[in-house]
Amino acid sequence: MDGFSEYTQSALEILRQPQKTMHWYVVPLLLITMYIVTKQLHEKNYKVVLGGFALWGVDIFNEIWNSMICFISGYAPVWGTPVGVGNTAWLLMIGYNIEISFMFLIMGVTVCLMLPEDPKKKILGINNRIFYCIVLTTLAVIIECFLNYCGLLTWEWAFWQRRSPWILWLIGYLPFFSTAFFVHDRPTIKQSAAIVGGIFAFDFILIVICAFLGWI
Amino acid sequence: MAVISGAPLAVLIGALIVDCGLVAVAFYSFLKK
Repeated sequence: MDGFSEYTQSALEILRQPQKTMHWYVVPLLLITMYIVTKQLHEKNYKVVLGGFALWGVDIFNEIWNSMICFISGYAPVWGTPVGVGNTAWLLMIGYNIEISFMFLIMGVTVCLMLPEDPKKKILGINNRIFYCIVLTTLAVIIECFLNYCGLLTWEWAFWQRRSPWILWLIGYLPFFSTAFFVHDRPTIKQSAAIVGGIFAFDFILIVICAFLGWI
Repeated sequence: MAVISGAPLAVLIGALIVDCGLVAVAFYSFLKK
């Protein structure tokens, strides 16, 4: 590789430098997210909240390996959020900004609220969890393709392009929804919490290792 | 467009294994009688 791509260089200029990029809207966005989670906790929808956090945690795993690919290759992340289009208030990792972070937590809670009470109920002859995984993943990939078309998400590796969205479908979103629903459906809250704890512990260890190696 | 190879490809394969593993475990539980 001949060094970081132009898009990557622009993102590196603002990476974890909120003093250059912060906007006021982050504060109400934080409060909206807190309201959504608090409302579910008050209604004792612990499974929904834990499912939401599971989705958030699996996305953080994806953001970590995306960052690893960027710094190990010295070229570009698989998905990047450059400066100039859709400017972020705070770039946390090379392809992960504060807006995406709040969005994924809200998404996790929202999709778990969509689930029918009966995990074995069928929709169009398919288990409803699998049905929702397929439908939501497809919708999310369509939105990702639109964001890429608009220039908010840059895709600079040949295998991750709008013309071949199957890999986005398989590892970009399907694990998010399936893990969220799996955590949601555990028989006890303790089991759900243990899995979420495991996901975040794994993320934390990876972040520490990557920080040490300069891969984040 | 760059073609992925070497160490970045190894990271991608590792990520694929973890992500697909999560999907497999979840789908197995959804389909279990």
